[in-house]
Amino acid sequence: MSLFETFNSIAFVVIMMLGLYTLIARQNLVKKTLGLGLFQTGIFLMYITLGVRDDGVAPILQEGAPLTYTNPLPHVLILTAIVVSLSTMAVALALIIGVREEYGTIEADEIATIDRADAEEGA
Amino acid sequence: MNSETSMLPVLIVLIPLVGGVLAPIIGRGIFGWLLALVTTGAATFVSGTLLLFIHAQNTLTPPFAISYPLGGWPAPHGIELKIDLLSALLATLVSGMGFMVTLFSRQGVDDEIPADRRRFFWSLWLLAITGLLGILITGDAFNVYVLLEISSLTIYGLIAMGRQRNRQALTAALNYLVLGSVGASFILIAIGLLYAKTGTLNMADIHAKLLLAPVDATVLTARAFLLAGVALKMALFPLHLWMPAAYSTAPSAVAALLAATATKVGIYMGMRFIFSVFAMSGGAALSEANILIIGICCGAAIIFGSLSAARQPSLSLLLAYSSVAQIGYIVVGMTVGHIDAMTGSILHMVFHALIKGGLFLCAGILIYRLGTTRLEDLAGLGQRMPWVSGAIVVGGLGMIGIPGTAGFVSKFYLLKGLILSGHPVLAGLVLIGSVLAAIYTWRFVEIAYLRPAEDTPLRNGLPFEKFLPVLLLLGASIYLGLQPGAIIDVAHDAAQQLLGGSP
Repeated sequence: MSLFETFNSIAFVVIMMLGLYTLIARQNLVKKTLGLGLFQTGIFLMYITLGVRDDGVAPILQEGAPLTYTNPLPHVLILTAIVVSLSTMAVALALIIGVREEYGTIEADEIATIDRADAEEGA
Repeated sequence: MNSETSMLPVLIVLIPLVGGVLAPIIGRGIFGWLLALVTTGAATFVSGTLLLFIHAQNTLTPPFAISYPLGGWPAPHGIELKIDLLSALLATLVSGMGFMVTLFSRQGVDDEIPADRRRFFWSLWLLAITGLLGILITGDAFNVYVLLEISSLTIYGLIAMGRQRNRQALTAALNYLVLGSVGASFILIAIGLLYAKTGTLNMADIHAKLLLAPVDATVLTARAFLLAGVALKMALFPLHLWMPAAYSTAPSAVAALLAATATKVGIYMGMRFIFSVFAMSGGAALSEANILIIGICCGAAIIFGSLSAARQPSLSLLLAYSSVAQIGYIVVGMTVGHIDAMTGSILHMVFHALIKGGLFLCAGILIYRLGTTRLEDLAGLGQRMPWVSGAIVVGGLGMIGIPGTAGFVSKFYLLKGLILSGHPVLAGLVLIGSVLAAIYTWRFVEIAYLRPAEDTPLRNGLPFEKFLPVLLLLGASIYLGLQPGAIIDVAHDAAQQLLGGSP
């Protein structure tokens, strides 16, 4: 395993865990969403690292090219996953706008308090 | 495969996909509903045809599965659609439930969704069904992830459309989005690790290469991530937290579709990955430690889900928590890897989809006629709505598993499999769960039949088009309970294919 791969492997775990922590620990819905985005970005880095070969070059066929190519398939896959992550973020932000309209706040704990008050009122 | 059936596999996803794209353009007024009805009906017809075809072929030359190379690129390099009996059975179930709920929801959507959003509702609706059907028939691991996200993203949108009736739909959808995305990301990590290990994305190819390589940390980590991600998606206790809120606040049609199909597809993903990808040589897919952990989760799901169901304030929440328990039954059956338990598990998926789908449609009718599903407001329902409350009782009996209902057949096979494979404790939990199901069903019976009727006027009469799907679904569950021969055959053969032909 090259130095690059070792560094990346540690980096993507750190990024993923930072994201997951933000997702769990923050009450602000936008920050939660950002945590989710960070978590997914860590996974992208994992996939990109999978394709790396020592001294690999871009996989373009040319005269007198070296024999080692970087594997392009993980990059293609992660392009799809980036689009998915982008859409998820867009849907999440759209929902948060709706939450702000209905509740007047985007703090998860305040929303829970309001919902509980609603439930008691109804009972 | 002959020429008439050769294009059918791809049509299963193509028909609802085209419908979903067309819906925002031509789906104004009644046309959105008609489009959804036609496309789900056509998808049901196609998957039903394939089911019959594959079952017939499988009886002649087992094991039989259809493989369709997308774009003419052969597997393992191209993306392969692979349909075996289990895929075909569940595809028929999902598209059929989609058709039934669509049939139900013309007026419901008119009531609950603002006019300018309806065509987008139908678009999301059909795309969600596309994603769910796609997961069932694809043979490519990364494809599973993409289709999972297609169905999930559309379902978040569909749940959030319940905000007109209850603003908690927004927070429920957001919660589901966050948890669902984490679950899907776990699955993505698992697929990445599998790719790192085997260098391929085709499920059959991954399996073949895993069999040759020694089991190492990469494979075990991949399996752990996969099981966690799938458990989130199928709402297995204790990862079910998103489900009750989502089911009880979503528009009634969406709740019925979700309860009947989305979690089932999650379970299918679990079955497919555990038994068709990770199964080690020698047949054992999960170690005893795995079975213990999943068994504890399932047992807790059955007990906790049923007990919670018995103390919920509204029928929707009661049904949602009862689903938590039913997921426990289905997963416990697939975990032990015994042919009878797996047959029971597959049967229970089908029957639970029919029964719970029908019950959520009844909840939809209550919302339409009463404006609420709060149990307190349902006093004397037996006199006020004899047909609907009768249907709810019939569904409840099916969930308990009274002999003569479909629930009895599937639980019988579950129990037989669990006992024969040497897990009497799990079998005991299944029995206890049935008793607890009787408690929460009785709670409804007590309120609906033994309390004096309230005299708040009903908003609407009982529309035949809403009650017809309920009749068909619950009727099917009773018919299959009395004449279970054919469906047991299919489920048994599907279980055998999944377990690799070993008895």
